[in-house]
Amino acid sequence: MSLDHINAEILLDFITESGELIDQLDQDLVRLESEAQNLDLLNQIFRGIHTIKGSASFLSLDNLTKLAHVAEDALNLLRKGQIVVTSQTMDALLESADVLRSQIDELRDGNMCSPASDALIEKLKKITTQQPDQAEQTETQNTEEQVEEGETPLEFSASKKDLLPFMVEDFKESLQQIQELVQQSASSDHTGNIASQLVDLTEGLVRSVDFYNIDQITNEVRSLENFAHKLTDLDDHCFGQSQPRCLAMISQLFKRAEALGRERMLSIPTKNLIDRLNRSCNGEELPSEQCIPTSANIDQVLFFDGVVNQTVGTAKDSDTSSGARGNTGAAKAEKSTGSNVAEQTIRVDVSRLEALLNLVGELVLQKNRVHSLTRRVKSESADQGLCEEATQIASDLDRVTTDLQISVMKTRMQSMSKLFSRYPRVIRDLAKATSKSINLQMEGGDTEVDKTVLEGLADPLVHILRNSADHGVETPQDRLAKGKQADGNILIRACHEGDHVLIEIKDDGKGLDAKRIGAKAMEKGLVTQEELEAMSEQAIQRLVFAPGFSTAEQVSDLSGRGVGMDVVNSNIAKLGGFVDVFSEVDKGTTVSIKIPLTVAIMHAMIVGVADETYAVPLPNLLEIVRPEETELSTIQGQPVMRLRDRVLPLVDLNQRFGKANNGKLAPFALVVGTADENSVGLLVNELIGQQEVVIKPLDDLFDGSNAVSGATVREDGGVSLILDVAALVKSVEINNDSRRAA
Amino acid sequence: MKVMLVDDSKTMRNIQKQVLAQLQITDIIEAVNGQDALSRVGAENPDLILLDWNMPNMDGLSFLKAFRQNDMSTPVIMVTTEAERRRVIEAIKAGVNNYVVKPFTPDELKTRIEETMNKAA
Repeated sequence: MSLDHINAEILLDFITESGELIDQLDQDLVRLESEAQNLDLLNQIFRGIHTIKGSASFLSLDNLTKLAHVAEDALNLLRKGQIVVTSQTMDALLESADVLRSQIDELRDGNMCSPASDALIEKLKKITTQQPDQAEQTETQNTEEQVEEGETPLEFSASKKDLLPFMVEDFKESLQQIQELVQQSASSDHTGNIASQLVDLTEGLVRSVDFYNIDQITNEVRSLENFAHKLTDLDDHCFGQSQPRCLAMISQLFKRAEALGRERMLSIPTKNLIDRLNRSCNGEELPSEQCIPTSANIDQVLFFDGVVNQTVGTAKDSDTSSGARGNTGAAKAEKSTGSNVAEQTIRVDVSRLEALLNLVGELVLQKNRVHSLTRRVKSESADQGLCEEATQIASDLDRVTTDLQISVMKTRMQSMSKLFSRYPRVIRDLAKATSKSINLQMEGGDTEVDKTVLEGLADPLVHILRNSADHGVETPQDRLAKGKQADGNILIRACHEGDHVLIEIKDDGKGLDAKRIGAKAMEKGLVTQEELEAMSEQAIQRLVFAPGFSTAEQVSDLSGRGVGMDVVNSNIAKLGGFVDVFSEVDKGTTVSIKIPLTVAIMHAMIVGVADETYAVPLPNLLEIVRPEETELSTIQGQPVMRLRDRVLPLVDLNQRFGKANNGKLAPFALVVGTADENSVGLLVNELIGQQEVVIKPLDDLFDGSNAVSGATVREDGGVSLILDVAALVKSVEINNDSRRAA
Repeated sequence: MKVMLVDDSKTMRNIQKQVLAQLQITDIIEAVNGQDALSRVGAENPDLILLDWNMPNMDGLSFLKAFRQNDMSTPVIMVTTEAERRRVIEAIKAGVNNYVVKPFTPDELKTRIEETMNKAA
């Protein structure tokens, strides 16, 4: 059977949407395990499955619909409290999420989705027939809902409660519209157009709030209604006093609406705000100490009228702690802002963004060429006016291009939480399979990186995380024996540092055993005895990144899989990043990754080698020296130079790229290095200068053994190869190894 | 208490009358659509209006909007179907004081009327 009968566009939307829903589902289900009584969460999960089922049945994807349907049934009983969350329930639901995901993957590949196994369907059906005797217990627990600080629970009659979700939705929608209109309003608006729309909206809002009999909110909304009625008559001064207050009021009402949805009343002291807003709308001149300064922002107004105690938002401080078993308050706040943000975003096909980025790349190249042309004009033309004009145009172009480049880069930025969202599930499964108890904490999920970088990070991070959970964290018995808490902790943290992103994965497990690593490395022939003795403990620990290294005594199917940290290392290096490891025995291991924000454009040093030019990535460049004859020598056939108190292996790029150099050594040495403190000196003939280069990937024909990672177009329109420093450094090591072996 | 029933279905009006009778309310005026109700409501001056949503010749919501131009105080209870529930908020914003979902029990209607009258008082 083919998918021809389904409109391709609708199907694509379905695949994207369902994919996102299932990601969310995964995360929510894991949360549900620890928050079995969280009704909001259950409802959210239910809605997710329900949406998938609805769309799938519309598209006649029967196999998908069938699974979603039974899962939905089970969830429905769960949220109604007729059955309780057990570990079997969770397993079945998580398995359903997995199968749904693979079914959607099948669709993405253009195949019809295969049916879920009967066993799974049976499992789900069994849940729905679970003994109802435990039901009462859940129900009573359900009523003991948490009341957060600064909130009072509200009680509504059945009819009001039924309507509440619609009311809150409408409340937020109206606020949104009112906010826009108030922002557009001006004291000179005498057409009354905005005013009359505002009157309609605020009157409606007053009625719907009044229906719920919450006087405080009614008064707040009434003050907005008052503003709407008086708007056309306000003079500049009164308008200046009332409009910012309206916006401040609206910002607080958004919070109220969100709390109302949870049947909670927030204690927000808006008395002054209401009073001053009403008086200035009524044309009263406020005493000077009650006048807000012109151009005050919302936070300042709120502070001024005593609504908040400090100007910086207080809601942000819980930001860092929303870990795997996140704090519900923060999660809810995210949700409410999320619904506002959603209306201001549009989906764009990735290929369009790629095309845009490509064009910006081209533009940067052309900009570089204009620069070089300008320089020529300046040196060759005697016309002063022409020179100035050319310089001006070049610098304007420079500015616009840079701004454009930054804007396009921003559109490609995605937050790390996109990756983080999968980890609670990964850790949960691993902890379960190894009978460990692991707390996963995540910080900095809002850190943004380029899409390509994000995708490149996905596998390495999971691998490191699995390593930490599988090999790092000990079993509860071992931990107790060592005097630690039975629960292991893993922290994953992301943050920006300049134009780089730092990611740390930290566990409090058994740490890396340098002795065992050393022994293993020798056994595998990665190092010699004397080399090992000369190495620092950290250098030995870094051997885990060496190709073909795996310390686990037995390779488990969870993290082992035959590939080691070397794959992590090479994947990160491909993105222009570095991995490092720091570990203390029985204290834990920290793996840190430093990676550039973007991979498409970078700064490079352009150097001349014979009659060619090459680009050396600036992050790899440590220093440039001009070696004296006396500093150069050869050790075991390897040319080296003495650099202060160190011996630096040299690579003559003329030789490396097969150029004749009249038997002379090139005059400049670029000291380049990688994160693991290995460095080499590259001998080049000429230093041309620093340039922003746009990386053009090389064809697949290049197998990577050429020590070049890409190409770029120079200012003069010619093509230069970009050197792969990591590969060059490695080639020197391999040379040394083979010599040693011989 | 004088109640105005606005509903195009005679059956529905009869059911409502029976329920109201159980609540000892017998002073009842009937209108068959929004237009009819609007033309007579001023003269009849009821204490409460029970308003159906879906009617030919001016539906409940349009009646309400026209009615609230002149009369802000007379309480109106919207009688809706399950399907219209998510639109009730629209009616409330237009000035409905309460609502009841069909089919309702006498007790339910009684509660709603009491709620509404207490608040209006």
